[in-house]
Amino acid sequence: MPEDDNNQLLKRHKADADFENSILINQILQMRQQAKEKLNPVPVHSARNIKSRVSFDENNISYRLPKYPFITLTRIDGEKVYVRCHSEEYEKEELKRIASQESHYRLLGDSSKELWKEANEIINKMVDNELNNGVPDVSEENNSSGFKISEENNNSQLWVDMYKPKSYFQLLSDESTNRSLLKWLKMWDKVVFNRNVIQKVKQNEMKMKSKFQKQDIEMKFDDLGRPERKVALLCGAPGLGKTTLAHIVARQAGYNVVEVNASDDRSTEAFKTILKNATQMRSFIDRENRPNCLIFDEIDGAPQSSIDYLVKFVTDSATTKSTKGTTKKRNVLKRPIICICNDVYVPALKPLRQIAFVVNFPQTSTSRLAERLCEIARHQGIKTDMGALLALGEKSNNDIRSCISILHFFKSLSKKISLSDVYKTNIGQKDMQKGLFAVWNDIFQIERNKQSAVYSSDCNARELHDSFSLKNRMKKILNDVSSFGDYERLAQGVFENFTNLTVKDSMLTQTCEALEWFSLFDKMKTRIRTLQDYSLMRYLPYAFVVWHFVFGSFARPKLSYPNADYEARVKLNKTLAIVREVLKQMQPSIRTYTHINPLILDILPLLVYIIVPLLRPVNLHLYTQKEKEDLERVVNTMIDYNLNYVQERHPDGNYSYELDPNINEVAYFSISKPSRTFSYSIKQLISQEIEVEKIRRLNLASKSGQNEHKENGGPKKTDAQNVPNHLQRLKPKLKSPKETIRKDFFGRVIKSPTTSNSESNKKQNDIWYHYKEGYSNAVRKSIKISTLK
Amino acid sequence: MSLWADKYRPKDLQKLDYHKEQAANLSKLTQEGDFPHLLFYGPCGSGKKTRMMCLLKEMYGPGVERLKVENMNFTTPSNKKLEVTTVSSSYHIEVNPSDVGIYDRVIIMNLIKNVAQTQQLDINGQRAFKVIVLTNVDELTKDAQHALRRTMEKYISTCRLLLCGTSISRIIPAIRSRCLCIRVAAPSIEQISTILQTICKKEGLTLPLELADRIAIKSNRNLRRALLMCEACKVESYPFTPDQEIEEPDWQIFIKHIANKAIKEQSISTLAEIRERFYELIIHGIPSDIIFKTLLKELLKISDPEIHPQIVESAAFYEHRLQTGSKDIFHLEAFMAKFMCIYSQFLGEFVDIC
Repeated sequence: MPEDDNNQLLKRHKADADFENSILINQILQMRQQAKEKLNPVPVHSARNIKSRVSFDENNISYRLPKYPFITLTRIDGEKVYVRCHSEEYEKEELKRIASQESHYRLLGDSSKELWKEANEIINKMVDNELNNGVPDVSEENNSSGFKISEENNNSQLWVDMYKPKSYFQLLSDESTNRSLLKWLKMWDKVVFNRNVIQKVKQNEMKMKSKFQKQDIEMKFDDLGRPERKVALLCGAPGLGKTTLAHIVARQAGYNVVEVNASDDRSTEAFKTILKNATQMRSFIDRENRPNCLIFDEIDGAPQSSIDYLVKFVTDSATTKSTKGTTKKRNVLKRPIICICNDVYVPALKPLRQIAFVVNFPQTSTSRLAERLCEIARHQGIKTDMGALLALGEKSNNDIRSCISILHFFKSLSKKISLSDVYKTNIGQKDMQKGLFAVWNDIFQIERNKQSAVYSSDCNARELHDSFSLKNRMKKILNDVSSFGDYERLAQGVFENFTNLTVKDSMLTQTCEALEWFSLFDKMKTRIRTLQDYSLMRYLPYAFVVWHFVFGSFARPKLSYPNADYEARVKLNKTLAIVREVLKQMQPSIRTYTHINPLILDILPLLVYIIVPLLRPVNLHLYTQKEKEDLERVVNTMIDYNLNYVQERHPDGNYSYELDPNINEVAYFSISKPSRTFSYSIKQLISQEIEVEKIRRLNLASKSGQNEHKENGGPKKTDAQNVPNHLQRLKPKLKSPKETIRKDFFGRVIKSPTTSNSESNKKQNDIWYHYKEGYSNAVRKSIKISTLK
Repeated sequence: MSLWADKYRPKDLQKLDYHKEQAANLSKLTQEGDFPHLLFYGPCGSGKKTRMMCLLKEMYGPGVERLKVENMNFTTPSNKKLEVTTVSSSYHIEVNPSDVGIYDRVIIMNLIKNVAQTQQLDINGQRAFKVIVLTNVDELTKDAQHALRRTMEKYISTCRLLLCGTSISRIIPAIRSRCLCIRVAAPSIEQISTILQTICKKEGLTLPLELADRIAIKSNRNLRRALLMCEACKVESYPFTPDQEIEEPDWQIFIKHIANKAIKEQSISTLAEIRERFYELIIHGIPSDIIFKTLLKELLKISDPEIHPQIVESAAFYEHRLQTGSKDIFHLEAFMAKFMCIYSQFLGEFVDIC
């Protein structure tokens, strides 16, 4: 069975790939473990390395006036330091040298040797730092966690800073996220470091394809060798370590980080300079001469224009390059840009979202977070248990930053942290804004009792955390709703969704109560809005509690976005537009007696009956006297109320006459249809009659106007106007012949010989032509509208 | 002017069909040559506007009938452009400030100042003042009403205000005290019936007395509606028969359907269906207070008298909420749910007794 074989082969292939992947992941995890172990014991410094570092420093930094070109710097303690300043060529060489150090820029997990090297390097750097600081406190490195903190820093530094991950391995965030960002950054290697890494990366990609499909980058490069998506957009809830990740990954890949965050000026102008500076220039003071990597932190708060500029900057250079080719050297983006935001759906970010490589930040796993917290606690000597830390992580929604801050806070209390402490304190809970649907879900769904307090004997805490009790349900709803803020939209959503739920309420008493709250809610809301009485605002969330108690059930609600209200408003506007159209051209003598409301309530609903009398679909001349009267009445009424039939073409090619403005839409409801409608021919007839009648009235008006005019101001009409139409003659327009100055080839003026007999020309102009014979439609005859009837 | 309602509208105070005493008083008022600010109020279709125009004609002569429609533009302090349609003759100007919603104050302030600050040119033979007609004054915002009260006194030498609205309960007392309030009551059924008869006679038609009475009753003492209904009847079938079907405005039939639905079944799904219908009414521009009123009448017609007090009470409660709120649908539905609740409880008790 060849097919079967094939299948098996495929399966095996797949299994192989899976196997390889699992190996890879295992490898990473092992190495992380190794790195941890390696970092923990006293590291073996290789003297050679330190020496080379020292010599490097000697060559480049000096306290005395050196011989080489330098820049003077003043340290915090007031001492002057002279730092070597290199020439540009040297910089380039140096860059190449760094680039050639392959080990530094390889993806992680390639070989243990390289890892070793890297680990050594990190350690050396630390030692270096210490040497520079003049605090040769080697014993500090003995601390268990592998973090390096000197005691005197302890008081001044926040823990959040102190325990910040210093290298890639210490990152707490999701491994696949980290890798995909790093991989994206590596794709820049070709442009930035002039090195080909594509092959390797591609292999890696092949291996990982099945595992990390979700966050995989398309490994596409543009014609310059840059990755297709030139901007990475990191997004996720606060405190997950996005900024940290970006910094560490950028440093890992050999870049110098340039960070722009909300504290900087982010007007378009400022943005321009920052972008240009960071992408086209390079810092010289930095020891290692690394290229820049731009990180825009908190970009969701930046003004729209700045983001637009960024998008333009990124895309524009690419397109001009491709169209113009190599004819013009333009500044193209050659440095990676990483943007970080909390909310990726901010309207301003929309253009960026489309061109960027979006990395969604998943939540850190609670266990991993608790592990780290435990480590820190052990290091700081805080007594606690794993359960409390897990609860803490859960409470803060896995926000690393706030967890560490809380630990810091507990340290100052200097007592054991128990589970009840964690639940009791109201710190650690942020103003977490949930999504619209999440809040609606909370209102309609009663949360099942979570047994999160199970690993603690503290029954007090359990009771506190019992999410099923009414008190806690109310608290939860109040909290959710008030942190969301947009009460009106929330209320509308509840209102439009509650009818779709299966609530058992046969007597409707519960529903009644809920609806009374809707009514009250609207009353309060209106009062707040019209009188700016915001003291009432605090009572609004309680309505949601009532709705939760009435409509909440264990079943999962099917929710939809409320748009009935909006649709109704749009349609109402359409109706009002029709009525206004009627009012606009109405005869003034009728207009003065009516308004929108009487028109909608009384006139239009009955008018639609009145303007449709019984008329036979026959020729006008065959009408009886009564029918003629009816027709006349219809025509007059329709003119009075500015109605007419207008021909409309349907999509299927048929024509029909429709009322314009279409008052049928206003007058008829869905339950009833117009009892009688005219046929096409009658509508056409009425439409024609209306036009004729309108012209007749206009004539009448102008005639009476003229008569008035005559009485008032005497005859003003010229004789020409009195001549009947068919007797009128065209008058030749006297046109003075234009003096055209003729010039010859060289621009000299030529005296034209014709100018002498211009008089004869004039005479010729007097002759004009009158059409006598031939086909012509123009039979001129004076006719009056009144005679047409 | 071919609709009967327009065609046979009286043009002189002497030709008015009902409230003749009041008409005579008004005519006396004009004989003095001067009159105070007037506030006409009364239900729809009772002829407030007709009376007002007759009064103007009595005062200024037939010149007031030469009307023209103009659009006036105003700018709010926040630079929003407003456009208002005015109907004016050379003696008066008529405007409906509530057309522009919450910006009515701007209209009131600017328009009155514009008109009032310009003196009439030829005083001889004409009155020394112009007239400003404001319609739907009961829909004016409080701001606009307060803006009105001072200008009313300030420009009394050059202009008079004729106000027109359905009810004075929403007009602030300060304005009520500055005006001579004239109530125009709705015509009685008999009056409407006789008017219909005379108009039919003029048209050369014969209207059976029963039909005229039925139309008058069905029109809810609204003369305009009665005339339109009568004309619709004529269009439907002539010669008239006494038991002929009378066309009603569609929205009334629609509300009747809603009431029947609520009586038939009381459940959340019915409530959802009724909500759709309420939305349809709102979409068609039917004012919510009228929906409330009509709905209550229909419900009272078909429900048991025992629960009437409860129903009326809840209707009053939610109608008040409606006036103070802004989302009409909430209050309409709340009332509907309340009615269903009351009704189903009543039915439950009834079953228990049986």
